[in-house]
Amino acid sequence: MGKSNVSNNIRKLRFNHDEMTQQELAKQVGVTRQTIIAMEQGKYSPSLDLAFRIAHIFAVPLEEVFSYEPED
Amino acid sequence: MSYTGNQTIAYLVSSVLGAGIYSFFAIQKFQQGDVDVTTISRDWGSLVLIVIAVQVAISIVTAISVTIIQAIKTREPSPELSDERDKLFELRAGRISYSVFGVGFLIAMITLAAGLPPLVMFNIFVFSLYAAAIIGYLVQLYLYRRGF
Repeated sequence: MGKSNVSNNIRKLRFNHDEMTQQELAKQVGVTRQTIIAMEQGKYSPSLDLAFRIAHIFAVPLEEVFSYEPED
Repeated sequence: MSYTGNQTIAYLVSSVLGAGIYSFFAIQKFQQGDVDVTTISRDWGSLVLIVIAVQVAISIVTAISVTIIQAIKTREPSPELSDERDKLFELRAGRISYSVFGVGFLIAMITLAAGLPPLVMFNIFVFSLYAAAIIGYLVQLYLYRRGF
């Protein structure tokens, strides 16, 4: 299991939300900071539940946070 | 490393210590020659129970120590629950752990079928339990270090 096919804009969205820290986001969505780091690095694809929670925190649709890039 | 990653190290250490303590007393018993290898006596059952009790105590002490050290280092309270990624790591490690124990169980049964003394089967059984736990924690640790 290497890089995920699911990419995300979490880092950008955090920056646009008053430079929210990874710890703040982790606390709000109920995960550890390491999970946020793994997601930002594209190493971990979150569950649907967590993906929706992240989108809800940033008040954007899910597809603005996550996108799927199929393998060639 | 995260709090749960450090907790894994603590449990790994306690498992290694448990295996070490068991090995120490088991070897001592064999060297003293006061064991009948054809049967599993009350002493062996007691030994396993005592080692388990000691190991539980070591686990509690190391888990508390890790929590205190982590709190001092990060100045943050420890997370009360593990998140979905932690659970995924636990599941992956658990799967490998069960496989290791399965192999140990199989070897233990083969020794019985081959007519070896029950004490051999008993010790293989106990060591496969420890091997399964230790390998499971090592896998978990590897997953935490890798990050996914």
